[in-house]
Amino acid sequence: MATGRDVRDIFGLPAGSDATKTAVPKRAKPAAPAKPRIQGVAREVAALYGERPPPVAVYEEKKAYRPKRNTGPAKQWVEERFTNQARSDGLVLRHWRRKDEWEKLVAQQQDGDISMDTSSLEVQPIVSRSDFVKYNVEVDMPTFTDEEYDAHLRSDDWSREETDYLLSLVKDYAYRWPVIWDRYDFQPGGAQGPQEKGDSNALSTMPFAPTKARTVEDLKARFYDISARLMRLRIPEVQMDAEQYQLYETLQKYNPHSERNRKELAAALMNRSMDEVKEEEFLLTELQRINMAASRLDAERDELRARLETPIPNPGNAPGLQSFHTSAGLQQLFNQLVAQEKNKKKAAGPPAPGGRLNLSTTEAAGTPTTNGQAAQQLAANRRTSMAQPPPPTPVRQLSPQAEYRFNVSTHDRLTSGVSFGSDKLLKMRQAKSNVQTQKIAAALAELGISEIISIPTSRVAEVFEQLVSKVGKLLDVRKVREKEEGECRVLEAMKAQKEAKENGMPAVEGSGRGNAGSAAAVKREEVGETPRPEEMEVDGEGEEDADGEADEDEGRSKRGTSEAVSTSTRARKRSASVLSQASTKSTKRARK
Amino acid sequence: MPAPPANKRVKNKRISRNIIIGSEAYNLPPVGDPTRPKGIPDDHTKRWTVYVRQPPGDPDIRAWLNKVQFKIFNTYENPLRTCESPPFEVTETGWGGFNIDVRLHFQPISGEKAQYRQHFLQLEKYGDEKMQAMQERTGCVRSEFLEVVQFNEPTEALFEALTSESQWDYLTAGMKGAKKAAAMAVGPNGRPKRGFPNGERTAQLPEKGGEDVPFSGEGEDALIALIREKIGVVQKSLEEETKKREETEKRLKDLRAELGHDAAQQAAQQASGDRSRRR
Repeated sequence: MATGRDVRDIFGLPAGSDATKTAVPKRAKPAAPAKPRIQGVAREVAALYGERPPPVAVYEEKKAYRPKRNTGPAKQWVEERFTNQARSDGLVLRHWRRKDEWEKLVAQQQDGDISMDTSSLEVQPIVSRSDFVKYNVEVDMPTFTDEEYDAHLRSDDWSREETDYLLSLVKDYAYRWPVIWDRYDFQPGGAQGPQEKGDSNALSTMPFAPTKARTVEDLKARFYDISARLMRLRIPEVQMDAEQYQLYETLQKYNPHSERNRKELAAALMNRSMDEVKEEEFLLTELQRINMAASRLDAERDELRARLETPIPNPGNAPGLQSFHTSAGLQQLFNQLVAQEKNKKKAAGPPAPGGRLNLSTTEAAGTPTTNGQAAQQLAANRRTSMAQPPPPTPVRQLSPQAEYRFNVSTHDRLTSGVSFGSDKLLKMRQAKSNVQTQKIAAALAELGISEIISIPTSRVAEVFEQLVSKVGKLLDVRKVREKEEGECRVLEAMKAQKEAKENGMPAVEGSGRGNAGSAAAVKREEVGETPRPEEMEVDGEGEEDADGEADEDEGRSKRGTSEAVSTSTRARKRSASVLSQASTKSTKRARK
Repeated sequence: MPAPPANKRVKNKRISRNIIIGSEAYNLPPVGDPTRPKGIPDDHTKRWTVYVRQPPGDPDIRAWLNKVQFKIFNTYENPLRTCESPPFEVTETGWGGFNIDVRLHFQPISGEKAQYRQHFLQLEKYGDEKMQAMQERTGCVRSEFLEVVQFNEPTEALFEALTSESQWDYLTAGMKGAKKAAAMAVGPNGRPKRGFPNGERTAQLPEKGGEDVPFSGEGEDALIALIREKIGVVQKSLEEETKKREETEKRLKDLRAELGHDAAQQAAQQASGDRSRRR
């Protein structure tokens, strides 16, 4: 799109300044007409009209009936004869003036001697009026003498006559270039009379080259060239002040070719079709999009690079001794040194007695203060041996107060990286098995602890961990208790059965549901029959908590299966993979 | 080989920062109401904002947070919204809640990868009766959670940045003279405002809670007290359970002694075997 800036650029206006209009005086812009105010209505009512004028014109009644101004008798007017002071030819013109005004002027110009016949025009004195002088604007023109022209202003393209003609036109039309160009009609040989115009094409009347069709640019170029040269002649470049120099530069830099191109461009821009405009718009938006994408990509790449590459090493920050403050660090260093020592020994034969190895052992085991020294010493050794000086070490120690303020805490084992407080809390709810996790969640819900802890700070986490471990313990105890209860029930049932056998009586079905049911199950198993599901269910609560402990139970049941041959059929039917080995073993034994 | 110095981390240190991830939802005026903003589909009933903030007066979040991306429901135009600078928030209209992926991008000096958080966009009233009444009254459903971002073994540069005093400069930046003085004046609770020269400047939670301070040290203490209380409850039932267990154990022992070893084995197997058969 062509913006105001583009237009300025095309027209060659330097942004903000108006240097090309060299001598044309700037015309003051008329102030924007003030909005007519509606008269004769209350201000409040007028405000209701809003922006637009009311559809019906509001007439002011007052105005219509206003008394007429009484200004006395009619004024007299005189058709005055006057000469314009701006004219040199003394042309006498006439115009109407108020009589009193005219009399005053005449008295002034003719020393009060007024021959009083105002009616006849012929005897009326001619007054000279200066009113119109202000409209006769003289433009600044470069002037030169013949010598100057010969010395500096000669041009192959322009004759002296044509140059003079151009200058006179410029003067006549006050730098209005389009007008100058329009009127420009140079007849070589000074023949400008209309009677010779018809012959101007005849070669005989032309002492110079045939008339050239001059463009505005040609005219301007010639004129500016002359102006610039003369300017430099009058004031040497070094003495020009800023304004003059700027003007001089503009004059000098004028390039008719670029001007022509610019105008052609402007015309082309103006004559574009709608489709072309649209396409241009589209391309521009596309370009903008591509640029944005590119810059974003660049930014992302930079970030990635910053992350991948090693940023500027910051020697002031690198902790050298930090790693030797812990016993683990020292141990590692010690091992490293031992290895080096060994290598040296291998290279240089038997070691000298009381070598550094012994020394460092004792020192490494010394008090913390000597420890520090040892570490320093060791670090120094390392420096020489590895030819890599560890950077100086600022101690990253903050006062406890500052640590609290900046929320810095110290931990023994940390995996570096970012973690979140709520994740930690969530993790605590997770047990090893799914079932256990669900149970813990149920227990916590029963306690009225919501699923998301609103303030997941480390303090809360600590307490919460205690809570979860307590809950876990409770669940464990409950599980064991329930299992034992189940066993009890079975044993009781067996006891009842035994008693019944001893008494020679069949077991009474339905006498105490749980016991009797399981007793029946036991009985069936002994016969080698698979219990049907409905009977299995009778076992009751005892088996409700299940899989979490299944593993340890299975250990026990393995023993059970291998010993009790009678249950081998049942064992074979189990699908649990852990059990498959045991059950095959037991069936083999059963076959034997 | 020692690690290159730039990736050097400060060992055994953890720096924690609190942030608030949350959302607010307001009712839109019904369709046809003149105050209803233009250009909103007719079925949208709420205007909501999802945001990542820091508790007021905390050290500058920009010290470690580079940008935040919100992945909102994929029927929205441009569902991955990126906020490069504070406020880290996205405002939209809609009619239903969904899970929003909040991706936190850390400053390059931290050398950390971006991390996801999830936030459910709560549009309808929730919580207990008191909360619901409050939400009814203000017409605003707010659901926000405190998150503790822990930088474990931060890089040297990050450590430096997160322990510098200039982290609070953003509070007074752009304020001059009277305005600054006004900002530094006593806060609404009669104490110097947090984060200003006379107030305490800390990355810890503000001590006192209030209407506009949903997360505070007080709240933390209350929560801890609540959990402690629950620990007491659990402890009590644990003791009861232990007693019961001892009784059962005793009974079991008696029964085993009475019925002999074989029967005991069989019973044990049966009690557990039935369980494993269920798998």
